[in-house]
Amino acid sequence: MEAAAAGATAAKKSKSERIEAQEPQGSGNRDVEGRSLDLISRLPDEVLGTVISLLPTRDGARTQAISRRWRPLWRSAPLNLEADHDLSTQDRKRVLFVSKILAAHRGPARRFALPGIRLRDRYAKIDGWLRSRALTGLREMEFRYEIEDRLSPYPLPPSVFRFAPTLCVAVIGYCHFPNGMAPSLNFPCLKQLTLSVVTMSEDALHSLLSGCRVLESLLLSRNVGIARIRIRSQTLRSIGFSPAWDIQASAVMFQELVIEDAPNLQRLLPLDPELGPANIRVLQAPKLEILGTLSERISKIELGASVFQEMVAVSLTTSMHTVKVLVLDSAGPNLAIVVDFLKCFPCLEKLYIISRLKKNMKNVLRYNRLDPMECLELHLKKVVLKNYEGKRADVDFARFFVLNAKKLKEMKFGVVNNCNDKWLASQRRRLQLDNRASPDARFEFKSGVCNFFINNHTHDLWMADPFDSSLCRCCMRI
Amino acid sequence: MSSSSDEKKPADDAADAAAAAEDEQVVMLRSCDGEEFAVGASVAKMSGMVSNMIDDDCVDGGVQLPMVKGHVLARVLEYLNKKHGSAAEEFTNFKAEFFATLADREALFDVILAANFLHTQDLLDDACQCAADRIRGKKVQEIRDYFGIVNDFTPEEEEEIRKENAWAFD
Repeated sequence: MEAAAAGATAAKKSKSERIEAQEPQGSGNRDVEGRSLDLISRLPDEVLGTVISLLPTRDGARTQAISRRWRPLWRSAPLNLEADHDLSTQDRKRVLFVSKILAAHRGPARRFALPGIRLRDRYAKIDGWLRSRALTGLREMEFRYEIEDRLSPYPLPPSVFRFAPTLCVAVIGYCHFPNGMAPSLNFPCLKQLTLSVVTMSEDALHSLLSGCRVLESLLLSRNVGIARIRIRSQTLRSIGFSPAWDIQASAVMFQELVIEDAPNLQRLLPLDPELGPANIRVLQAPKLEILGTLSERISKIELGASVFQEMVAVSLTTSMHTVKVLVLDSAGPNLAIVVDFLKCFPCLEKLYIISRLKKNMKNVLRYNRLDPMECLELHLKKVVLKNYEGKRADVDFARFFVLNAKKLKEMKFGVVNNCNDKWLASQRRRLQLDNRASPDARFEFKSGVCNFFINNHTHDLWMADPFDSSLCRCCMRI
Repeated sequence: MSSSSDEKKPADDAADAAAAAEDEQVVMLRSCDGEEFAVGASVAKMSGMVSNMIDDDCVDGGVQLPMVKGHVLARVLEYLNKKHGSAAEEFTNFKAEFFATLADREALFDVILAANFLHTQDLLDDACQCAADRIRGKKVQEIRDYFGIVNDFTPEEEEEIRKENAWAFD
């Protein structure tokens, strides 16, 4: 009884107290009689195997030297093999080690990652790796070539599809997809798919996607050869997409993304809106919550029957009540344009704006209290304004929210220049912070230039707001 | 819904509230040292083992868990209740704190063993990840020291292993 009570209250001790009390002094955990309390080795083989399979490759293999109990475990624990700089800093050695490890391990494998393999004359060898018994049952795969010659072909070995029945996570990059194989492919377990700088046909992409019946997140980044992407998926929750960077004159441009039917889609994430695609059409996405980044470089955005051309609302017939987070790149910044977006998303809670100040921009819009906007009256809680200069146009823009967003909790300004006290005082006055509509609102100014919101979180479904923790390339977190 | 220790556990409160709110079946779980926990069926079913018993209708007198101590079961239920009732981001934050407070090695391994016994896959996965995090980056002797593992290799054996896997050792 005492032990149980002590155990129950132990959780209430402060964390540092507990760590201090339990850290071994030099040579190990010992009980009152001085016997070694080797608790971990008492775990069953299968559980230890799970732990080992979560370790980086070298750490995993080193467990063989811990004790006799541990020696046989790595060879039968699901293999985690990543050919990265941790394995070796030298390319030639990495290749050597991968061959060695695959020869020594019995299988199955949990994860195999080639984050940047140089093809050279190694195609047969790489193909051999993929066929090895050690990789049986693979659940996570990353396959990316390191491109050394942009004019050469980098064929994806069809043997990667051996893992189609068991893969849960796949990253394929910097290669030429074997288009002919696509129609026969089926990925019954695949939840997360990344295709990055892959050259493939539009048909192959759609065949591939139709074989992914449980897909939850999809990242289509900079792929070559695809003009239109059509999404029909009962399970998809998040999609991030961007056009190719390197378009030769005759190559295909990414023109359009159409969400035809995606009943569970929560996030629609154009990752490089400066580059397009030219059109985004959402026919059916009844659970859409997060949308962005949108910019005028996307010529046409259709959300149901609402249409925006170069960000200007041409028709606002459909409003999407589920959208809570919106990220806009606004040349001007243009208050009238942004306000029209707010009319399309009456329940919006967070608004992120990248401001691009234009010389003669005039933001004269006044809030019409006789025609109140649901978003400003009831929902908008957070506004983040990046690239803020504190000049007339963006002051007028920001002040609109200060004075009219009744539920505003926080407004953050990412400021281009230095915010010295004098400048801040002047801004507080011009923004009329003392007259703010929401008494609880807090205003924060932070220095640093940032041109966009980087979003690396297409697959991070656990994050409520992938833009909230976005790390700017300039290392400013807002 | 009695508990043999002095204070009412947070797991009990949450379980009571959840079960009451949903008017669902309540399952009594009994630890090997006699502590009892009332758990709503929806949370109880997160244990594969208990789920099977519920489906087979053998939970009427309560479920005896011979392998699991009371304070460990309390932690397991804390995790399961939170997982059942939280949004994804909130739960991710909770997990970080939960495993940080399992700084005591014994507690972590007790939770792993309990999760394995109860077939609570998510908890087992997360707890194994925590154990892996504590192994990662350590040299072999550091791992032995940290976990209290005795080195029972002869020097020749150990040398042989290091040679065979030279690529893994610095």
